Amino acid sequence: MSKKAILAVILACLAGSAGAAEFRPETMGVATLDRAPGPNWIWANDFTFGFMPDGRTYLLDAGSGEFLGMMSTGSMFLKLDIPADRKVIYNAATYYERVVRGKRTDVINIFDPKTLDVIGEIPIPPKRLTSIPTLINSGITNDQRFLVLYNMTPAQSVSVVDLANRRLASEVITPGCAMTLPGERRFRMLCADGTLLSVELDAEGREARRARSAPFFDPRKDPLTEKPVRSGDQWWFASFGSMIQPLDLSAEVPRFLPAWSLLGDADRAEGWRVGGIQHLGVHDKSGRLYALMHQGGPDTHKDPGTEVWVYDLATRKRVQRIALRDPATSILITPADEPLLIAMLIGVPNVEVYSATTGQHQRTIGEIGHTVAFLQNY
Amino acid sequence: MKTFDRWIENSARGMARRTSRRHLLTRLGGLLAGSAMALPLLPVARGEGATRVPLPLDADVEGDAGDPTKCEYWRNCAIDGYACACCGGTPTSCPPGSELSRITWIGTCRHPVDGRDYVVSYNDCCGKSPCGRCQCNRNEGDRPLYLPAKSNDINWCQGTKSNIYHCTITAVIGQAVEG
Repeated sequence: MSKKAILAVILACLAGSAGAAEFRPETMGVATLDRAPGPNWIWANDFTFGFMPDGRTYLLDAGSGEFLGMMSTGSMFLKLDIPADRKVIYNAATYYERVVRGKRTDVINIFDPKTLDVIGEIPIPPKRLTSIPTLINSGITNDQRFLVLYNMTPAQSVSVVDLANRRLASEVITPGCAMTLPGERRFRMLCADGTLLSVELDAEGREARRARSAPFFDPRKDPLTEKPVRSGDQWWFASFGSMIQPLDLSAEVPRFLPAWSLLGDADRAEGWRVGGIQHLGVHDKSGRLYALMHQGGPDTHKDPGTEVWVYDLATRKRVQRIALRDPATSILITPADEPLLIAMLIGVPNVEVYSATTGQHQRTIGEIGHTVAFLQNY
Repeated sequence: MKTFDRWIENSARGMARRTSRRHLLTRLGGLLAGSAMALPLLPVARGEGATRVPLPLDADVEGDAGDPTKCEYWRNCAIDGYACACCGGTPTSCPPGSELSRITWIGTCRHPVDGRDYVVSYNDCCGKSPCGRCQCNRNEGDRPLYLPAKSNDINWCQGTKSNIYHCTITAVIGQAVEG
Protein backbone atom coordinates (compact mmCIF):
# COMPACT_ATOMS: atom_id res chain seq x y z
CA MET A 1 0.00 0.00 0.00
CA SER A 2 1.37 3.40 -1.00
CA LYS A 3 1.78 6.24 1.49
CA LYS A 4 -1.03 8.12 -0.23
CA ALA A 5 -3.39 5.18 0.05
CA ILE A 6 -2.60 4.75 3.77
CA LEU A 7 -3.28 8.43 4.36
CA ALA A 8 -6.60 8.10 2.52
CA VAL A 9 -7.64 5.18 4.71
CA ILE A 10 -6.73 7.07 7.89
CA LEU A 11 -8.63 10.18 6.77
CA ALA A 12 -11.64 8.07 5.85
CA CYS A 13 -11.57 6.45 9.28
CA LEU A 14 -11.33 9.78 11.05
CA ALA A 15 -14.17 11.23 8.97
CA GLY A 16 -16.31 8.17 9.59
CA SER A 17 -15.82 8.28 13.34
CA ALA A 18 -16.82 11.95 13.56
CA GLY A 19 -20.38 12.16 14.75
CA ALA A 20 -20.61 8.43 15.64
CA ALA A 21 -19.57 7.00 19.05
CA GLU A 22 -15.93 7.79 19.63
CA PHE A 23 -13.43 4.97 19.13
CA ARG A 24 -11.53 4.17 22.28
CA PRO A 25 -8.42 2.00 22.13
CA GLU A 26 -8.55 -0.86 24.60
CA THR A 27 -6.53 -0.48 27.74
CA MET A 28 -4.18 -3.24 28.79
CA GLY A 29 -3.41 -4.41 32.26
CA VAL A 30 -2.88 -7.35 34.59
CA ALA A 31 -5.77 -9.25 36.14
CA THR A 32 -6.10 -9.51 39.89
CA LEU A 33 -8.07 -11.92 42.04
CA ASP A 34 -10.42 -9.60 43.88
CA ARG A 35 -12.99 -12.27 44.70
CA ALA A 36 -12.77 -14.16 47.97
CA PRO A 37 -11.67 -17.75 47.33
CA GLY A 38 -14.59 -20.10 46.81
CA PRO A 39 -15.02 -23.45 48.60
CA ASN A 40 -14.04 -25.34 45.46
CA TRP A 41 -10.89 -23.36 44.68
CA ILE A 42 -7.94 -25.70 44.66
CA TRP A 43 -4.19 -25.55 44.07
CA ALA A 44 -2.70 -28.19 41.81
CA ASN A 45 0.96 -28.36 42.84
CA ASP A 46 3.35 -29.41 40.07
CA PHE A 47 6.87 -30.44 41.03
CA THR A 48 7.69 -30.69 37.30
CA PHE A 49 9.74 -33.86 37.62
CA GLY A 50 11.27 -33.55 34.15
CA PHE A 51 12.49 -29.97 34.76
CA MET A 52 12.50 -29.57 38.51
CA PRO A 53 14.02 -26.07 38.71
CA ASP A 54 10.69 -24.73 37.40
CA GLY A 55 8.08 -25.72 40.00
CA ARG A 56 4.66 -24.14 39.81
CA THR A 57 1.15 -24.30 41.21
CA TYR A 58 -2.12 -23.77 39.36
CA LEU A 59 -5.15 -22.16 40.97
CA LEU A 60 -8.40 -23.66 39.70
CA ASP A 61 -12.08 -23.31 40.49
CA ALA A 62 -13.01 -26.97 40.40
CA GLY A 63 -16.68 -25.99 40.62
CA SER A 64 -16.65 -24.05 37.36
CA GLY A 65 -13.55 -25.47 35.70
CA GLU A 66 -12.02 -22.01 35.53
CA PHE A 67 -8.22 -21.58 35.47
CA LEU A 68 -7.67 -18.60 37.79
CA GLY A 69 -3.90 -18.19 37.73
CA MET A 70 -0.53 -19.68 38.52
CA MET A 71 2.46 -19.08 40.75
CA SER A 72 6.10 -19.95 40.02
CA THR A 73 7.29 -21.66 43.17
CA GLY A 74 10.94 -22.44 42.58
CA SER A 75 13.06 -25.53 42.26
CA MET A 76 11.83 -28.83 43.68
CA PHE A 77 8.49 -27.42 44.74
CA LEU A 78 6.52 -29.41 47.29
CA LYS A 79 3.51 -27.54 48.69
CA LEU A 80 1.99 -24.24 49.73
CA ASP A 81 1.56 -23.14 53.32
CA ILE A 82 -1.55 -20.99 53.59
CA PRO A 83 -2.24 -19.09 56.83
CA ALA A 84 -5.78 -19.11 58.25
CA ASP A 85 -6.43 -15.47 57.26
CA ARG A 86 -5.22 -16.10 53.68
CA LYS A 87 -3.62 -12.66 53.56
CA VAL A 88 -0.45 -14.13 52.09
CA ILE A 89 0.65 -17.53 50.78
CA TYR A 90 4.00 -19.14 51.58
CA ASN A 91 6.11 -21.79 49.92
CA ALA A 92 9.58 -23.13 50.66
CA ALA A 93 11.80 -22.89 47.60
CA THR A 94 15.33 -23.63 46.48
CA TYR A 95 17.17 -21.59 43.85
CA TYR A 96 20.57 -21.99 42.23
CA GLU A 97 22.39 -18.98 40.91
CA ARG A 98 22.80 -20.65 37.52
CA VAL A 99 19.60 -22.72 37.55
CA VAL A 100 21.25 -26.09 38.20
CA ARG A 101 24.59 -24.97 39.66
CA GLY A 102 26.22 -22.13 41.52
CA LYS A 103 25.27 -20.74 44.90
CA ARG A 104 22.18 -22.31 46.48
CA THR A 105 19.66 -20.04 48.15
CA ASP A 106 16.64 -21.40 50.03
CA VAL A 107 13.80 -19.07 50.97
CA ILE A 108 10.20 -19.00 52.04
CA ASN A 109 8.46 -17.19 49.18
CA ILE A 110 5.69 -14.84 50.23
CA PHE A 111 2.94 -14.39 47.63
CA ASP A 112 0.14 -11.83 47.46
CA PRO A 113 -3.06 -13.86 46.94
CA LYS A 114 -4.65 -11.08 44.86
CA THR A 115 -1.79 -10.56 42.41
CA LEU A 116 -0.19 -14.03 42.77
CA ASP A 117 3.11 -12.14 42.73
CA VAL A 118 6.04 -12.54 45.13
CA ILE A 119 6.02 -9.74 47.69
CA GLY A 120 8.83 -10.93 49.90
CA GLU A 121 11.00 -13.80 51.00
CA ILE A 122 12.46 -15.17 54.20
CA PRO A 123 15.93 -16.79 54.00
CA ILE A 124 16.07 -20.31 55.45
CA PRO A 125 18.91 -22.85 55.80
CA PRO A 126 19.58 -24.68 52.49
CA LYS A 127 18.60 -27.99 54.06
CA ARG A 128 14.97 -28.68 53.26
CA LEU A 129 14.04 -32.22 52.26
CA THR A 130 13.13 -32.46 48.63
CA SER A 131 10.97 -35.49 47.99
CA ILE A 132 7.66 -36.60 46.57
CA PRO A 133 5.41 -33.97 48.21
CA THR A 134 3.25 -34.70 51.24
CA LEU A 135 1.06 -32.68 53.56
CA ILE A 136 3.69 -32.95 56.28
CA ASN A 137 6.81 -31.62 54.56
CA SER A 138 5.95 -28.28 56.19
CA GLY A 139 3.11 -26.47 57.95
CA ILE A 140 2.05 -23.47 60.02
CA THR A 141 1.48 -23.71 63.77
CA ASN A 142 -2.15 -23.26 64.89
CA ASP A 143 -1.33 -19.91 66.50
CA GLN A 144 -0.18 -18.80 63.00
CA ARG A 145 3.13 -17.60 64.36
CA PHE A 146 5.63 -20.14 63.02
CA LEU A 147 6.17 -22.10 59.85
CA VAL A 148 7.86 -25.45 60.50
CA LEU A 149 9.77 -27.13 57.69
CA TYR A 150 11.38 -30.57 57.66
CA ASN A 151 15.08 -30.75 56.69
CA MET A 152 17.23 -33.69 55.66
CA THR A 153 20.85 -33.35 54.53
CA PRO A 154 20.78 -36.38 55.52
CA ALA A 155 20.95 -34.99 59.08
CA GLN A 156 17.37 -34.53 60.24
CA SER A 157 16.09 -31.23 61.65
CA VAL A 158 13.24 -28.73 61.50
CA SER A 159 13.58 -25.08 60.48
CA VAL A 160 11.26 -22.89 62.56
CA VAL A 161 10.43 -19.69 60.70
CA ASP A 162 9.03 -16.67 62.55
CA LEU A 163 6.23 -15.42 60.27
CA ALA A 164 5.53 -12.29 62.33
CA ASN A 165 9.10 -11.03 62.07
CA ARG A 166 9.89 -12.77 58.79
CA ARG A 167 13.11 -14.41 59.90
CA LEU A 168 14.43 -17.82 60.89
CA ALA A 169 13.66 -18.43 64.55
CA SER A 170 15.61 -21.64 65.14
CA GLU A 171 16.66 -25.01 63.82
CA VAL A 172 15.56 -27.94 65.97
CA ILE A 173 17.75 -31.05 65.65
CA THR A 174 15.64 -34.21 65.42
CA PRO A 175 17.74 -37.34 64.79
CA GLY A 176 15.68 -40.39 63.86
CA CYS A 177 12.49 -38.44 63.24
CA ALA A 178 11.04 -37.04 60.04
CA MET A 179 8.32 -34.81 58.59
CA THR A 180 6.45 -32.21 60.62
CA LEU A 181 2.87 -32.12 61.88
CA PRO A 182 2.11 -28.63 63.20
CA GLY A 183 0.00 -28.08 66.32
CA GLU A 184 -0.83 -25.17 68.61
CA ARG A 185 2.72 -23.85 69.16
CA ARG A 186 4.36 -27.18 68.62
CA PHE A 187 5.09 -29.78 66.01
CA ARG A 188 5.16 -33.55 65.90
CA MET A 189 7.35 -35.91 63.89
CA LEU A 190 7.18 -39.56 62.83
CA CYS A 191 10.18 -41.50 64.10
CA ALA A 192 11.82 -44.57 62.59
CA ASP A 193 11.03 -46.65 65.69
CA GLY A 194 7.29 -46.10 65.40
CA THR A 195 7.12 -43.33 68.02
CA LEU A 196 5.93 -39.75 67.79
CA LEU A 197 8.23 -36.88 68.76
CA SER A 198 6.54 -33.78 70.18
CA VAL A 199 8.46 -30.49 70.31
CA GLU A 200 6.98 -27.51 72.17
CA LEU A 201 8.17 -24.07 71.03
CA ASP A 202 8.66 -21.00 73.17
CA ALA A 203 7.52 -17.47 72.24
CA GLU A 204 10.72 -16.97 70.21
CA GLY A 205 10.29 -20.20 68.25
CA ARG A 206 13.03 -22.06 70.04
CA GLU A 207 12.62 -25.56 71.43
CA ALA A 208 11.09 -25.33 74.92
CA ARG A 209 10.84 -29.06 75.59
CA ARG A 210 10.41 -32.34 73.79
CA ALA A 211 8.78 -35.67 74.53
CA ARG A 212 8.81 -39.01 72.77
CA SER A 213 5.73 -41.23 72.81
CA ALA A 214 5.71 -44.98 73.24
CA PRO A 215 5.67 -46.82 69.88
CA PHE A 216 2.18 -46.59 68.40
CA PHE A 217 2.84 -48.56 65.23
CA ASP A 218 5.35 -51.12 64.00
CA PRO A 219 7.28 -49.79 60.98
CA ARG A 220 8.57 -53.31 60.25
CA LYS A 221 5.24 -55.10 60.32
CA ASP A 222 2.87 -52.50 58.89
CA PRO A 223 4.39 -49.04 58.31
CA LEU A 224 2.13 -46.03 58.41
CA THR A 225 2.45 -44.02 55.23
CA GLU A 226 3.63 -40.42 55.54
CA LYS A 227 0.53 -39.23 53.68
CA PRO A 228 -2.03 -38.23 56.31
CA VAL A 229 -5.06 -35.96 56.13
CA ARG A 230 -6.18 -33.66 58.91
CA SER A 231 -9.21 -31.82 60.17
CA GLY A 232 -7.99 -29.31 62.73
CA ASP A 233 -5.97 -31.33 65.24
CA GLN A 234 -7.46 -34.66 64.21
CA TRP A 235 -5.18 -36.58 61.86
CA TRP A 236 -5.65 -39.84 59.97
CA PHE A 237 -2.83 -41.99 58.58
CA ALA A 238 -3.22 -45.06 56.36
CA SER A 239 -0.82 -47.97 56.73
CA PHE A 240 0.58 -50.15 53.96
CA GLY A 241 -1.89 -52.81 55.10
CA SER A 242 -4.86 -50.39 54.77
CA MET A 243 -5.33 -49.73 58.48
CA ILE A 244 -6.40 -46.22 59.50
CA GLN A 245 -4.58 -44.77 62.52
CA PRO A 246 -6.38 -41.71 63.93
CA LEU A 247 -4.41 -39.27 66.09
CA ASP A 248 -5.84 -36.56 68.31
CA LEU A 249 -3.07 -33.95 68.55
CA SER A 250 -5.09 -31.18 70.18
CA ALA A 251 -3.29 -31.34 73.54
CA GLU A 252 0.35 -31.45 74.54
CA VAL A 253 0.12 -35.20 75.11
CA PRO A 254 -0.88 -36.92 71.86
CA ARG A 255 -3.78 -39.37 71.90
CA PHE A 256 -3.47 -42.48 69.76
CA LEU A 257 -6.98 -43.57 68.93
CA PRO A 258 -7.81 -47.18 68.03
CA ALA A 259 -6.76 -48.19 64.52
CA TRP A 260 -9.35 -49.62 62.18
CA SER A 261 -9.25 -51.34 58.81
CA LEU A 262 -10.48 -50.01 55.50
CA LEU A 263 -10.99 -53.62 54.43
CA GLY A 264 -13.51 -56.31 55.14
CA ASP A 265 -12.76 -59.99 54.57
CA ALA A 266 -14.22 -59.92 51.07
CA ASP A 267 -12.13 -56.85 50.15
CA ARG A 268 -8.99 -58.58 51.41
CA ALA A 269 -9.79 -61.70 49.42
CA GLU A 270 -10.11 -59.55 46.31
CA GLY A 271 -6.70 -57.95 46.96
CA TRP A 272 -7.89 -54.39 47.59
CA ARG A 273 -5.54 -51.97 49.32
CA VAL A 274 -4.99 -48.24 49.74
CA GLY A 275 -2.31 -46.69 47.53
CA GLY A 276 -1.05 -43.75 45.52
CA ILE A 277 0.77 -40.50 46.24
CA GLN A 278 -2.03 -38.60 48.01
CA HIS A 279 -4.39 -41.36 48.92
CA LEU A 280 -6.69 -39.99 51.64
CA GLY A 281 -9.25 -37.20 51.76
CA VAL A 282 -11.51 -35.92 54.52
CA HIS A 283 -14.68 -33.81 54.60
CA ASP A 284 -15.34 -32.12 57.93
CA LYS A 285 -19.03 -31.34 57.74
CA SER A 286 -20.16 -34.79 56.71
CA GLY A 287 -17.55 -36.62 58.78
CA ARG A 288 -16.43 -38.68 55.81
CA LEU A 289 -13.02 -40.18 55.08
CA TYR A 290 -12.11 -40.99 51.46
CA ALA A 291 -9.50 -43.60 50.51
CA LEU A 292 -7.95 -44.24 47.09
CA MET A 293 -8.06 -48.00 46.51
CA HIS A 294 -6.65 -50.47 44.01
CA GLN A 295 -6.21 -54.21 43.70
CA GLY A 296 -2.62 -55.32 44.03
CA GLY A 297 -0.11 -57.24 46.08
CA PRO A 298 2.66 -56.13 48.43
CA ASP A 299 4.87 -53.30 47.15
CA THR A 300 1.97 -51.71 45.23
CA HIS A 301 1.55 -48.98 47.84
CA LYS A 302 2.16 -46.25 45.25
CA ASP A 303 0.13 -47.75 42.43
CA PRO A 304 -2.78 -45.71 41.05
CA GLY A 305 -6.22 -46.23 42.55
CA THR A 306 -9.25 -47.24 40.52
CA GLU A 307 -11.90 -46.56 43.15
CA VAL A 308 -12.44 -44.16 46.04
CA TRP A 309 -14.04 -45.74 49.11
CA VAL A 310 -16.00 -43.51 51.46
CA TYR A 311 -16.21 -44.09 55.22
CA ASP A 312 -18.34 -42.60 57.96
CA LEU A 313 -15.77 -41.57 60.58
CA ALA A 314 -18.31 -41.95 63.40
CA THR A 315 -19.14 -45.58 62.62
CA ARG A 316 -15.94 -46.45 60.69
CA LYS A 317 -18.15 -48.18 58.17
CA ARG A 318 -17.85 -47.88 54.43
CA VAL A 319 -20.85 -46.03 53.07
CA GLN A 320 -20.00 -45.76 49.38
CA ARG A 321 -17.71 -46.93 46.59
CA ILE A 322 -16.91 -44.47 43.80
CA ALA A 323 -15.55 -46.01 40.61
CA LEU A 324 -13.14 -43.52 39.05
CA ARG A 325 -13.44 -42.88 35.33
CA ASP A 326 -9.64 -42.87 35.09
CA PRO A 327 -7.05 -44.20 37.57
CA ALA A 328 -5.60 -41.61 39.97
CA THR A 329 -2.57 -41.18 42.20
CA SER A 330 -3.81 -38.08 44.10
CA ILE A 331 -7.21 -37.22 45.52
CA LEU A 332 -8.59 -34.20 47.34
CA ILE A 333 -12.01 -33.45 48.85
CA THR A 334 -13.09 -29.79 48.75
CA PRO A 335 -14.65 -28.29 51.91
CA ALA A 336 -17.86 -27.17 50.14
CA ASP A 337 -21.24 -28.19 51.56
CA GLU A 338 -21.62 -30.31 48.44
CA PRO A 339 -17.99 -31.43 48.29
CA LEU A 340 -16.12 -32.28 45.12
CA LEU A 341 -13.70 -35.15 44.71
CA ILE A 342 -10.64 -34.05 42.73
CA ALA A 343 -8.52 -36.80 41.19
CA MET A 344 -5.31 -36.74 39.15
CA LEU A 345 -2.93 -39.33 37.75
CA ILE A 346 0.66 -38.14 37.91
CA GLY A 347 2.00 -37.47 34.43
CA VAL A 348 -1.46 -36.94 32.94
CA PRO A 349 -2.38 -33.23 32.82
CA ASN A 350 -6.10 -33.70 33.51
CA VAL A 351 -7.86 -32.63 36.70
CA GLU A 352 -10.87 -34.94 37.03
CA VAL A 353 -13.73 -33.51 39.06
CA TYR A 354 -16.43 -35.72 40.60
CA SER A 355 -19.24 -35.08 43.05
CA ALA A 356 -17.91 -36.44 46.35
CA THR A 357 -21.46 -37.26 47.43
CA THR A 358 -22.86 -39.00 44.35
CA GLY A 359 -19.55 -40.00 42.80
CA GLN A 360 -20.71 -38.69 39.44
CA HIS A 361 -18.01 -37.36 37.11
CA GLN A 362 -18.64 -33.65 36.49
CA ARG A 363 -15.83 -32.34 34.36
CA THR A 364 -12.24 -32.62 33.19
CA ILE A 365 -10.02 -29.57 33.46
CA GLY A 366 -7.33 -30.23 30.86
CA GLU A 367 -3.80 -29.00 30.18
CA ILE A 368 -2.91 -28.68 33.85
CA GLY A 369 0.80 -29.09 34.40
CA HIS A 370 3.21 -31.94 33.97
CA THR A 371 3.58 -33.96 37.17
CA VAL A 372 0.96 -32.70 39.59
CA ALA A 373 1.41 -34.86 42.68
CA PHE A 374 -0.15 -32.90 45.52
CA LEU A 375 -3.53 -31.15 45.54
CA GLN A 376 -4.49 -28.57 48.15
CA ASN A 377 -7.64 -26.77 49.11
CA TYR A 378 -7.34 -22.98 49.15
CA MET B 1 3.68 -36.25 26.15
CA LYS B 2 5.67 -39.35 25.30
CA THR B 3 7.48 -39.14 28.61
CA PHE B 4 4.23 -39.09 30.52
CA ASP B 5 2.77 -41.91 28.48
CA ARG B 6 5.89 -43.89 29.23
CA TRP B 7 5.55 -43.17 32.95
CA ILE B 8 2.09 -44.69 32.98
CA GLU B 9 3.16 -47.48 30.66
CA ASN B 10 6.07 -48.36 32.93
CA SER B 11 3.85 -48.33 36.00
CA ALA B 12 1.41 -50.62 34.25
CA ARG B 13 4.19 -52.91 33.09
CA GLY B 14 5.63 -52.91 36.57
CA MET B 15 2.29 -53.95 37.97
CA ALA B 16 1.96 -56.70 35.42
CA ARG B 17 5.47 -57.90 36.11
CA ARG B 18 4.97 -57.87 39.85
CA THR B 19 1.85 -59.93 39.67
CA SER B 20 3.43 -62.64 37.54
CA ARG B 21 6.82 -62.88 39.19
CA ARG B 22 7.48 -65.81 41.43
CA HIS B 23 9.02 -63.69 44.12
CA LEU B 24 9.51 -64.54 47.75
CA LEU B 25 7.20 -61.73 48.69
CA THR B 26 4.51 -62.98 46.38
CA ARG B 27 4.74 -66.35 48.03
CA LEU B 28 4.45 -64.66 51.38
CA GLY B 29 1.47 -62.64 50.18
CA GLY B 30 -1.13 -64.79 51.90
CA LEU B 31 0.79 -64.63 55.14
CA LEU B 32 1.06 -60.85 54.83
CA ALA B 33 -2.60 -60.33 54.20
CA GLY B 34 -3.79 -62.79 56.77
CA SER B 35 -1.74 -61.89 59.77
CA ALA B 36 0.99 -59.71 61.15
CA MET B 37 4.12 -60.98 59.45
CA ALA B 38 6.81 -62.47 61.61
CA LEU B 39 9.60 -61.86 59.08
CA PRO B 40 10.85 -58.47 57.98
CA LEU B 41 9.61 -57.63 54.50
CA LEU B 42 13.01 -57.58 52.89
CA PRO B 43 16.31 -58.76 54.28
CA VAL B 44 18.89 -56.03 53.85
CA ALA B 45 22.65 -56.20 53.73
CA ARG B 46 23.58 -58.91 56.14
CA GLY B 47 26.50 -59.92 53.98
CA GLU B 48 28.41 -61.64 56.78
CA GLY B 49 28.15 -65.39 56.53
CA ALA B 50 26.67 -65.36 53.06
CA THR B 51 28.31 -67.54 50.50
CA ARG B 52 30.33 -65.21 48.32
CA VAL B 53 29.86 -66.04 44.68
CA PRO B 54 30.39 -63.79 41.66
CA LEU B 55 27.46 -61.76 40.41
CA PRO B 56 26.04 -63.35 37.23
CA LEU B 57 26.61 -61.31 34.08
CA ASP B 58 23.76 -59.30 32.61
CA ALA B 59 24.54 -60.99 29.29
CA ASP B 60 23.37 -64.26 30.84
CA VAL B 61 19.98 -62.84 31.77
CA GLU B 62 17.26 -63.31 29.20
CA GLY B 63 14.98 -60.52 28.10
CA ASP B 64 14.40 -57.11 29.66
CA ALA B 65 15.55 -58.28 33.11
CA GLY B 66 19.10 -58.26 31.68
CA ASP B 67 18.80 -54.91 29.89
CA PRO B 68 19.90 -51.88 31.95
CA THR B 69 17.89 -49.60 29.66
CA LYS B 70 14.59 -51.21 30.68
CA CYS B 71 12.54 -50.58 33.81
CA GLU B 72 12.23 -54.37 34.07
CA TYR B 73 16.05 -54.63 34.53
CA TRP B 74 16.48 -56.80 37.60
CA ARG B 75 18.40 -54.15 39.57
CA ASN B 76 15.61 -51.62 39.08
CA CYS B 77 13.26 -53.33 41.56
CA ALA B 78 13.11 -50.28 43.84
CA ILE B 79 14.05 -47.44 41.49
CA ASP B 80 12.07 -44.22 41.29
CA GLY B 81 13.51 -41.94 38.66
CA TYR B 82 15.46 -41.99 35.41
CA ALA B 83 17.79 -44.95 34.81
CA CYS B 84 21.27 -43.53 34.09
CA ALA B 85 21.99 -46.32 31.60
CA CYS B 86 19.57 -44.51 29.27
CA CYS B 87 21.24 -41.14 29.91
CA GLY B 88 24.85 -41.73 28.88
CA GLY B 89 25.82 -43.62 32.02
CA THR B 90 25.69 -47.27 33.09
CA PRO B 91 24.24 -49.11 36.10
CA THR B 92 27.43 -48.18 37.97
CA SER B 93 28.50 -44.86 36.45
CA CYS B 94 26.85 -41.47 36.24
CA PRO B 95 26.48 -39.78 32.84
CA PRO B 96 29.28 -37.43 31.77
CA GLY B 97 29.38 -34.14 33.63
CA SER B 98 27.05 -35.14 36.46
CA GLU B 99 28.12 -35.61 40.07
CA LEU B 100 27.72 -38.91 41.93
CA SER B 101 26.00 -38.55 45.28
CA ARG B 102 27.49 -40.83 47.92
CA ILE B 103 24.42 -40.59 50.12
CA THR B 104 21.91 -43.14 49.05
CA TRP B 105 19.06 -45.53 49.64
CA ILE B 106 19.21 -49.28 49.21
CA GLY B 107 16.94 -51.96 47.91
CA THR B 108 17.07 -55.71 47.75
CA CYS B 109 16.53 -57.28 44.35
CA ARG B 110 16.35 -60.95 43.43
CA HIS B 111 18.62 -61.99 40.59
CA PRO B 112 16.64 -63.81 37.92
CA VAL B 113 19.43 -66.30 37.13
CA ASP B 114 20.90 -67.41 40.44
CA GLY B 115 17.80 -66.65 42.53
CA ARG B 116 19.88 -64.84 45.14
CA ASP B 117 18.96 -61.52 46.70
CA TYR B 118 21.43 -58.67 46.18
CA VAL B 119 21.66 -55.31 47.91
CA VAL B 120 21.41 -52.53 45.34
CA SER B 121 22.58 -49.00 46.11
CA TYR B 122 20.45 -46.44 44.27
CA ASN B 123 22.83 -43.49 44.03
CA ASP B 124 21.56 -40.37 42.35
CA CYS B 125 23.60 -38.43 39.81
CA CYS B 126 23.24 -34.71 40.24
CA GLY B 127 23.92 -31.20 38.98
CA LYS B 128 22.09 -31.33 35.64
CA SER B 129 18.41 -31.15 34.82
CA PRO B 130 16.55 -34.49 34.97
CA CYS B 131 17.61 -36.72 32.07
CA GLY B 132 14.05 -37.51 31.07
CA ARG B 133 14.68 -41.02 29.72
CA CYS B 134 13.74 -44.43 31.13
CA GLN B 135 11.53 -43.12 33.86
CA CYS B 136 10.91 -46.07 36.14
CA ASN B 137 8.97 -46.43 39.36
CA ARG B 138 9.16 -49.78 41.13
CA ASN B 139 8.70 -50.02 44.83
CA GLU B 140 9.82 -53.42 46.08
CA GLY B 141 10.81 -52.87 49.69
CA ASP B 142 10.29 -49.11 49.46
CA ARG B 143 9.40 -47.59 52.81
CA PRO B 144 8.10 -44.18 53.98
CA LEU B 145 10.21 -41.05 54.31
CA TYR B 146 10.76 -41.59 58.06
CA LEU B 147 12.77 -44.72 57.15
CA PRO B 148 15.09 -42.78 54.84
CA ALA B 149 17.57 -45.56 54.02
CA LYS B 150 14.74 -47.49 52.35
CA SER B 151 12.80 -44.63 50.79
CA ASN B 152 12.89 -43.95 47.07
CA ASP B 153 10.69 -40.83 47.39
CA ILE B 154 13.67 -38.77 48.61
CA ASN B 155 15.83 -36.67 46.33
CA TRP B 156 19.14 -38.33 47.17
CA CYS B 157 21.24 -35.58 45.61
CA GLN B 158 22.58 -34.73 49.03
CA GLY B 159 26.10 -33.70 49.96
CA THR B 160 26.68 -32.77 46.32
CA LYS B 161 27.57 -29.36 44.86
CA SER B 162 24.04 -29.11 43.50
CA ASN B 163 20.97 -31.06 44.59
CA ILE B 164 19.35 -30.95 41.16
CA TYR B 165 18.49 -34.55 40.26
CA HIS B 166 19.67 -36.00 36.95
CA CYS B 167 19.28 -39.81 37.08
CA THR B 168 19.88 -42.91 39.25
CA ILE B 169 22.47 -45.70 39.08
CA THR B 170 22.03 -49.20 40.51
CA ALA B 171 25.28 -50.61 41.88
CA VAL B 172 25.24 -54.02 43.54
CA ILE B 173 27.05 -53.61 46.85
CA GLY B 174 26.43 -56.93 48.53
CA GLN B 175 24.58 -60.16 48.79
CA ALA B 176 21.56 -60.24 51.04
CA VAL B 177 20.64 -63.11 53.29
CA GLU B 178 17.42 -63.80 55.11
CA GLY B 179 17.46 -61.91 58.36
